[in-house]
Amino acid sequence: MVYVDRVETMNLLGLILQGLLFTNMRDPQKARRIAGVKGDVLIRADRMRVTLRLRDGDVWILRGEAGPPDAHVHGSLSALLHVALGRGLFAPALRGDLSAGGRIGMLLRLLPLLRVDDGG
Amino acid sequence: MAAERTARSLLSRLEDLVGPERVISDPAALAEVGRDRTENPARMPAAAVRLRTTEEVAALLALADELRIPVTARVAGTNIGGLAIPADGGIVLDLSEMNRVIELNHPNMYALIEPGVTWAQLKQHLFDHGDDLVIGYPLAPPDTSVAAGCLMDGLSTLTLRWGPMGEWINGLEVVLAGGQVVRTGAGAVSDTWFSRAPLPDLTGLFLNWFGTTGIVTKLAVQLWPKPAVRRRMFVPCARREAAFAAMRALAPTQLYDDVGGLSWVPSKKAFGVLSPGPRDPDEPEFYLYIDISGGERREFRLKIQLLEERLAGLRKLGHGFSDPIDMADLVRLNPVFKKFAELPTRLDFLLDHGGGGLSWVGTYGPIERLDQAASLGIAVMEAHGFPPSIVSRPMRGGHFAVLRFIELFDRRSPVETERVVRVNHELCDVLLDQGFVPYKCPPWAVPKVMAKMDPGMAALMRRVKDLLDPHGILNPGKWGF
Repeated sequence: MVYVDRVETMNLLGLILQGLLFTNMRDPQKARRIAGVKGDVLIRADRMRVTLRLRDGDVWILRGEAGPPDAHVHGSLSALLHVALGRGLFAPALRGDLSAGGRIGMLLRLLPLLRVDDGG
Repeated sequence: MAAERTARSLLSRLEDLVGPERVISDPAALAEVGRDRTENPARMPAAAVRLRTTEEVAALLALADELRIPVTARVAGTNIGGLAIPADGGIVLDLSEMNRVIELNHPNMYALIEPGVTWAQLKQHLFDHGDDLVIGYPLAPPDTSVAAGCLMDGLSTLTLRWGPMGEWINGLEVVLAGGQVVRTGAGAVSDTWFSRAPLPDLTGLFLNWFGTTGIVTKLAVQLWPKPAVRRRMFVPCARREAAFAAMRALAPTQLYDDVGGLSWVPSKKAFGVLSPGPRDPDEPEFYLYIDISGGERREFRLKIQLLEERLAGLRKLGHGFSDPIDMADLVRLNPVFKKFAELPTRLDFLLDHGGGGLSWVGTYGPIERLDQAASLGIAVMEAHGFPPSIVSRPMRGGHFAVLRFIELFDRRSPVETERVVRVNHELCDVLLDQGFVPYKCPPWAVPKVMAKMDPGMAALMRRVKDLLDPHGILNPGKWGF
C-alpha cells in the first residue's frame, strides 16, 4: 500500500510520486521487490523534498526530511522525471543533474517502483 | 387566486407555442433552473421552455413582451456570477436544444452555430469534418455553451493569440424583445458570415450585455488552421512573481498560443486534495501551462529552445523556474494531469466537492500590475480564511491580463455563503482600485463598476437598453437594469 502523510500539506513531488507508486504497487511482482526492505529514502527535486519510508511492504510518503535517510536521490525535477519516464539514469547523472547516495542496494530495489512502465 | 389564474394562462399560452412537453412547470425542476453554484440568491421562475428554433424564440419574446414577463436565456446554467439566474415569476428560455452546427466554412474559417452548441460538441464536429480547423477551449465543463462563452468575452487557450472570445465573433442572429429578428456582421448582407467588418459594428450591442438587449439564436465564430504539432508544457515557478514575469516576457513574442497560470491551490485540488495547505515553502507557488504549436517540427523545436532561453534570462534576474516539462510525460507519470492536458475538461476538482459552491471574482486588467493586484487579492483571501486559488493569463499578445480569485464553499451553510459574499466584495474593491475590471460582471458587482464608470458611457448604456428592450423584460437585474 501507499500512504501519504498529511496529504493537505504534501508538495507536488510527493503527489506525483503517490500516483506513480500507487500504479506500480498494484503489480505484485514490483511490490514484492520492497517486501522485506526497511529504511528511509530522501528524494529531492529542485527544492522539494520527500521521504519515502519503506516498512513491511508499504510505502509512506512524508513531506521533507524525516531524520537521517538511509539513501538519497537528488536532482532537478526534470532529471528525476527523466528517470521516472524510463529514459535512463546515466545521461542526467553524467550531466551532474542527478546524484544518489547511501544504501544503493535499497535504491535499486525501489527504482522499478519509481519508473513508469507503460511502453510510452 | 388571480395570480394563479394568470400563471395558468401563461402556461397555457406557452404550451400553445411549443407544445406541453417542452414547457416545464414542475416546482422542483424550476427551483433547479432558478439557481447556480454561486452565493447569488436563488429565484423561482414561473416556467421554463425548451426552444428549438429562432421562430419559437421570436414568438416567445413577443408573448413575454406583451405580458411584460421577464425572460432569461440559459444553456448549461453554469455561469459563475448569477447571470443565468432568472427573475422571480419569469420565464427561462432553455436553449440547450438549439444545438446545431449550421455551417462549417473551411475557406473562411468559421462555424455558424446555435447557442446550445457545447464545447465538446464543437470539438467533435471539427474532428469529424476534416480535423483541419480548431478553436480555443476555456477552463469550463465540456457541456457548456460556446456562444455564451463568446458573448461574455471569456478566456480560453487561444485568447493570448486571438484576444478574448468576443473578438472571435463574426456576426450574430438576434431576437429583440418584441420578437424582431436581426443579423449583425457581414452575414447581414452576404450569404457568408466572414467578418464583422466592414459594416457598422452592431454585434457589440449584444456582447457583454448578458442577454439584456436580445437573445442570440445564431453566432458565427472564427476558427483557425490546426497546427501540425501542438504540445502543452508545464513550468513550475518558485514564486508567483516569476510566473507573472514569464507571462510578460513570453506574451509579446507571439510565439506561444497560451501562457496560462494556476496557483498551487487548484493544482493540488486536481490531485484530489480537498483543502490544500499550508503550502510547502520549498515547492512552487505557481505553475505555467504553455501551449506551443508549429506548422512543422523544426518550428516547434525552435519555439521550445526560445522558451528555454527566455526562462534562462529570467533566472538571471533572480526568478526560479524548473525546466519545462511536456504535459504528455506528466500524464504518463500521474493520470491526474490529464485534467490539465487537454481542454475542455471535467472540472470535478472544482465542482464535485461536498458543499457544491463555487464562486470567483474574475477581472481583466493592466498586465504590469499583476504582482501588486495579486498580492492585495491574496491578502484579502487569507484574511477571510480562503487559500489563494488564482488563475491568470496574458491576453491578446500581452495587451492585458486575466486575474481571477476562486473560492470553493459549502453553499448549504449560510455562514460560509456570507463569508464568500464578503470576500468577493473586498476582492472586487481591491481589484477595481488597481484598474482591473470584472468580466462576466455579476449583479452584486455592478454598482461598484458603475461607480467607476464614465457617466457618459453609463448613460449611453441606459439609452441602448431602453431602445432595445423598452419594457425591461430581458434578463432583469443584470447590469443594474
